[in-house]
Amino acid sequence: MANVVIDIATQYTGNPAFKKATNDAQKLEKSVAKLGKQLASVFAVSKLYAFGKASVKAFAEDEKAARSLALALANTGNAFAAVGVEKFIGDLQRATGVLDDNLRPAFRTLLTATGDVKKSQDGLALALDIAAGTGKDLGAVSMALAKAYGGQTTALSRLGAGLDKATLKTGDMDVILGQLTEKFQGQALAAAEGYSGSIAKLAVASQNAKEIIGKDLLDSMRMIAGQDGIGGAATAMESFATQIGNAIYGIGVLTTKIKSLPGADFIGRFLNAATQVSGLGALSKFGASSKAASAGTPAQSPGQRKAIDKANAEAIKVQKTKNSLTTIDNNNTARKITLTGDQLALAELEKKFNVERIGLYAALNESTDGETKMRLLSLIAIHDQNAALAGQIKKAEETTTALDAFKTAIINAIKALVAMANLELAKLQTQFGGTSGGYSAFNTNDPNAISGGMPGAIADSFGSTGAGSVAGWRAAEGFATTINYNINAQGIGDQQIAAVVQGAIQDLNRYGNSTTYAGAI
Amino acid sequence: MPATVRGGVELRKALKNFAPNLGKETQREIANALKPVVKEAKGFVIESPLSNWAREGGKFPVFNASIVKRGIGYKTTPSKPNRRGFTSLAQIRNMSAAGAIYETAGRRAPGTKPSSRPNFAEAMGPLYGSGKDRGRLIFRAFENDYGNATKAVLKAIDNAGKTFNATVGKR
Repeated sequence: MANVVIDIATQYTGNPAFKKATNDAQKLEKSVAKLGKQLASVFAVSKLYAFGKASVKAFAEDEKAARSLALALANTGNAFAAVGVEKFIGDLQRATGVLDDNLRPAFRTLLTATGDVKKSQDGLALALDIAAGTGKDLGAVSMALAKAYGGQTTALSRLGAGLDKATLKTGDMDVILGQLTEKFQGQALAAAEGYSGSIAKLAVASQNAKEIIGKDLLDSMRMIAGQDGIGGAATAMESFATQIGNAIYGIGVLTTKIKSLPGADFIGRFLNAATQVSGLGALSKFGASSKAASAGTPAQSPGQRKAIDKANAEAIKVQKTKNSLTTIDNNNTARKITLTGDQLALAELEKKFNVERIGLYAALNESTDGETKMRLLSLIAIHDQNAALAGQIKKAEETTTALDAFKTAIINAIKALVAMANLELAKLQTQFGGTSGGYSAFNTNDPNAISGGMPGAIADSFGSTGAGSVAGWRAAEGFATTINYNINAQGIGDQQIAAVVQGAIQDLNRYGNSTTYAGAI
Repeated sequence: MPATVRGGVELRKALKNFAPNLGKETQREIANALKPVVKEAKGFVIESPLSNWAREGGKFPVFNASIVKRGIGYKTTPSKPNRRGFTSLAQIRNMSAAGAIYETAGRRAPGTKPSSRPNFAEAMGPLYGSGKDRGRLIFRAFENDYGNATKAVLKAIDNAGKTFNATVGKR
């Protein structure tokens, strides 16, 4: 039922239908993306499965060829050179971009014919040059060379190498090989240089990667099969190939190897990124470490293994004990902190209701004297066991002591100054003939110099008979003061006085000082 | 036709988060503006518009004057957006079933399906208002209010916005 309402004020906040449509579209998009990912993963698994099968096959063929070659070497008495030959073939493969799958049969053919490793190596190198120069198959060229070593030069003549019949007829392999070398030397390397060479090298690397991965797959399968061996290898392989995790291990290796190829950085980066963003990276690392671990400890006896396991278990046990102790320690610390906080709170609460403390604070509030306040604060500090407050009080006391010392020093300095002044005064009195202080020195000099009024009263106040009272001073204020100047000018005539006055006036004029008052004529 | 404002919902959220007192005050002002209309609408509820409607029985909602009165009220919190995307900031509502029937019966032209029977609607008295906004209770009271409630609500929202900007906005 629709509600009956009157909207007084409304606001447009967006159409919910549009929002719903947007949400639905987003959900659909997510679903499609999810489906796409699922499909991609299905296809990836399918590809991985095919790749795994091809890898195993490649490795099996490679191993078969290697075994065949090793047997050929052994049969020709060159078993000791097996490692060197494998290295030679590997180097040749990398240099020329020709697969070892082709090189090994060719080498075996030549070895069978010549029975000599050195000759076979030279022959193979020449065969590669001829194959590159003529465009013939390496197997065919090596077979022709092998036949030539056996005296049959027909096949060699059919290679289109341009050998004249006379040379071939001689059957001298040194001559024939010399001529062939002249004509085809460096062809294989030249062919390995350009784009086609790069592609060939890439193909070689890819094939090698396949072989390596195939080997790892088979090793893994053997590992899964257990001690009884592969047993029903075909079934085990099929079931194994469906296990994504193990196949990813192969992808990890492939990524590493492709990265090392010249000009294939982008593939390496792409695969590396793919492994980093997914769980492949972790799986690859796990696989590599497992491989390293299994390769590093191949010869452990059951006793050693048992001892290692025991040591590991002991170490784990010790670590667990340490961890538990650390946990207990941490818990105790946390509890201690909590208890300390609680105790502090309790102490604070206790302080608030302590009667003695309340009394001390009351006395402190009422006291006005600084010393009393300080004493009360000291008592409070002692009562509270408050070290911080005690420190503050101590500092305040030290400050007071320092102020006292400063005051004493200032008083002493003033006293010393007064003594010095007295000394100087005594010296002056001695100099002016007086023997004692007061006005007597002036009085003896000229007792009638000042008389009457205030000066007279002052003079009387110093005298033994003067009226130095307040009334006398007040009375003296009403009298006129008479000052007599007596100039002792004995031996000085009028002229000298006039000269002195004249000189003084001249000096004043010279200095620019006026001798007349302002406005005088 | 309701007045449309911009930023009303956002203002309400801002008030709630940063000036709760001002928000409450605004809500109170809006409520005070709507209360007279609600009171008047409740006054239009009569005991029984039709002689037998108040009698219990059947599936048709029974008209109970007190329930109808209780169903009339106001709302000052934003509603969910309607089909056209509009959120209501203030509403006057008639929520009871019988009240809604009494409010709206006879809006459609008499005799047209699925309209109510002409006698049923005509017996309840005339509808007040215009267009779709016609009724006998809240629409009638709102009609009699002459838009004063709307003005007061808008003024309250506007004042709240200004006060908010003047105080919180300058912090």
